[in-house]
Amino acid sequence: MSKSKVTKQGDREIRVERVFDAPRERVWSAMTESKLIAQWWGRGHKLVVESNDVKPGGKWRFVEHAPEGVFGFEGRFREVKAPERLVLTFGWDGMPGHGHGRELRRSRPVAGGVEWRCARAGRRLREGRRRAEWARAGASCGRESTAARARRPADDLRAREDRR
Amino acid sequence: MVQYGSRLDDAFGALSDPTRRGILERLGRGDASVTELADRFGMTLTGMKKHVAILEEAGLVTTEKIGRVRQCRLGPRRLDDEAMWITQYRRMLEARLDRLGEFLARTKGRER
Repeated sequence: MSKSKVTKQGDREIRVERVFDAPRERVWSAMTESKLIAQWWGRGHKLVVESNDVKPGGKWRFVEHAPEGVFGFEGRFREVKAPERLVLTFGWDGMPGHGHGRELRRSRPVAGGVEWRCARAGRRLREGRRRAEWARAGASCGRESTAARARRPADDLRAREDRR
Repeated sequence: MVQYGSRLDDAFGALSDPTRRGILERLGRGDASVTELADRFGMTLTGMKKHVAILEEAGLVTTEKIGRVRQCRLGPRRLDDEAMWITQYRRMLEARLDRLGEFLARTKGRER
């Protein structure tokens, strides 16, 4: 049973809110320290934290080893303000030209713990560009192109989230 | 609410393989038979049929038998399908936050 509240914002954005029964700082550590990330981020699968440079501009890359295959995710940190705010870009190797964008996580203390609000926005690509990225990923397994894309964030997400 | 658990969505599994991503890219430029795809990617007919079956299962490709040839084209579930994008990321986020909740409960009171 999932305890998250999910809302959809437009056609390219989702927001997931969840209250954790834990101090704010503990949740922050779990989200940012490699040793702790490895214990939950992989959803029960083996997770290899290849890089996790938690500072603005720092790169992260996590690889999930599931029975169905190996799934690499990566991006860069944009804003890091412990213990309340983390903005990062993300991409998935398997969905080049599509599964990437920006994720914003914010925490606030609430009754019963701390609420984290995660919002993700994707970027719409023109058809030609999407095809080009697919073609490139077919040759490189998406790794280089994901890194290149991560430098183009969906800035409107942040603007919208900050107004809330 | 549905429990997604650790099982990945069909499309994620289908897209995890570079050959299958290549097949989609190829079909994006025009329909092709299984034989043509096998030649193009330098694999056996049997191997290619397996890849095509996985893509078909995920709704990413449809096939049609025309005479003795099985023709492949992009399926109804396009990669630019917004519903698919939203569903994938919603599942991912929810599953991860569920795991984070479990982790925090499991390690409660055990400060480092």
